[in-house]
Amino acid sequence: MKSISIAFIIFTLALLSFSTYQALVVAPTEATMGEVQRIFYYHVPSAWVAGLCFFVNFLASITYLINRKPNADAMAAASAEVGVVFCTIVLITGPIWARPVWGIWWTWDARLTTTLVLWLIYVSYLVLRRFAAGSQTQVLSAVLGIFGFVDVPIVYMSIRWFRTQHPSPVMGGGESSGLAPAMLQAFLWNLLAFTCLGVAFVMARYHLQKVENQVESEHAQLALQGGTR
Amino acid sequence: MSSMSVTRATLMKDLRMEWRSKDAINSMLFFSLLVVVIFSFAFNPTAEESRLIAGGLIWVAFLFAAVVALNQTWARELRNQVLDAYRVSPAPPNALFLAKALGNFLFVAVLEVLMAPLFVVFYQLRSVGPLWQLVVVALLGTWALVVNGTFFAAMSIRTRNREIMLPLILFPISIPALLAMVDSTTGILTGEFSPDFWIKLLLVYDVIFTAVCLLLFESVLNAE
Amino acid sequence: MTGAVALKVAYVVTWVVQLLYLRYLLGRYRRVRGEIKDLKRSS
Repeated sequence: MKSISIAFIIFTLALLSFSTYQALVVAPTEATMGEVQRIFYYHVPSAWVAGLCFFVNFLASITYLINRKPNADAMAAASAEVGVVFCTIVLITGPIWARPVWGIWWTWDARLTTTLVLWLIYVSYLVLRRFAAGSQTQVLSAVLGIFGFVDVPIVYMSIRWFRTQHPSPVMGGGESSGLAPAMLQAFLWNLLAFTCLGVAFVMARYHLQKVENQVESEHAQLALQGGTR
Repeated sequence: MSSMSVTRATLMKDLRMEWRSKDAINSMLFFSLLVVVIFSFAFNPTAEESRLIAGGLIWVAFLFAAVVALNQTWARELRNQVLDAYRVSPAPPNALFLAKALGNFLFVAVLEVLMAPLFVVFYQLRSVGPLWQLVVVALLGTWALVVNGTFFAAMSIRTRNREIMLPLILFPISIPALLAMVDSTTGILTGEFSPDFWIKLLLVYDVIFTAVCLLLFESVLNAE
Repeated sequence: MTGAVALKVAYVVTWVVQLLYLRYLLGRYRRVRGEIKDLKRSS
């Protein structure tokens, strides 16, 4: 198991180097925005990975409520945390992109606002995990994970409608901007590379959670047996 | 014991106890009033401007007041080990949940009715759009806050810092409903755009989350 | 902030965030490994 993990990590790092090269060197410069558009190759794949992680959290939460297996809960914890990390990257790279293009850091643009709300929902999930009382953490988190993900399409629709009614500058080139084939190539490489990175982080965090759960149950057993022998 | 009789009995008991002490409604009212006054210092709107900001202001005041009510939803049950008794009784858990949610709905609705004339007075508020639409938004919006709020209150009592945990987990998930409430209220008051989509969105939100709450309440009640 | 600078900042920040998260994970691993050692010692 360990050698596969190490091989996968090396593979991911190589992939990331290649995809970054694609993004910075191979992909052509965009006509209107110039070099800053290349942020897109990191910004959008990060959003995709975050969304994927939250979906995994949704599935893991449902699975936990059905079969109460601690591994399902471990996967829920791992995917939520990694999802928040990638979501944070989206929220930071977005304004960095907007600043030279629009002269402002933030415009409550539909996609970035939706990402912000998602970030808030899953950060609240992580806060609940931290402050729930011991044995109930798993059930409560699973429930909140389900609530959170069910909310996602509603959040998306509501913010999109709001922005249709009250328009403002759109970050990241708008809905209709197409991708030249050379750009698409760089984008897809980064999409693959970031997905592999996300998978690597989730598996690492999942493994960590399982080990921690084991240690905790051993502590509990020791306590039941009346302290150290 | 049927679901409906349990719901009605619990609801009646809560309403009767609240009527006697008026604890929740008094603190909610005072808190709302404070929010309104503080906002008046922050903005000093003309009649035209007040119509633009009233939507947000009203719902922020109601949201904070609702949290006051929600935080004490389960306090009495917790104090007297009623929840444990409920867990072992054959009564359906959803009946208890519905009773609590309906109770909270009534408390917040009463608050809204009492506060409405105050908003009219403080901000010279007069609605350009039809009043019945405001009532629909208020009903759907209040239920959206209260159904999830009652559910999350049951979750947050199982955490180490229960009072702050409730708004912390409730607010992010309520954002689309709050957006709908605020923007539709603004649309109706100014008469500048139609609140139809928002009303539909609130309806969808209410249906989906009422279903999710009913589906998952038993898991939360039995979480140990 | 010009476009070229923004690009560099964005890419660097992405990797900083990832590395910070990696550091957090390694920290937790180290702690749990310590706890395992303690458990083994007391059993």
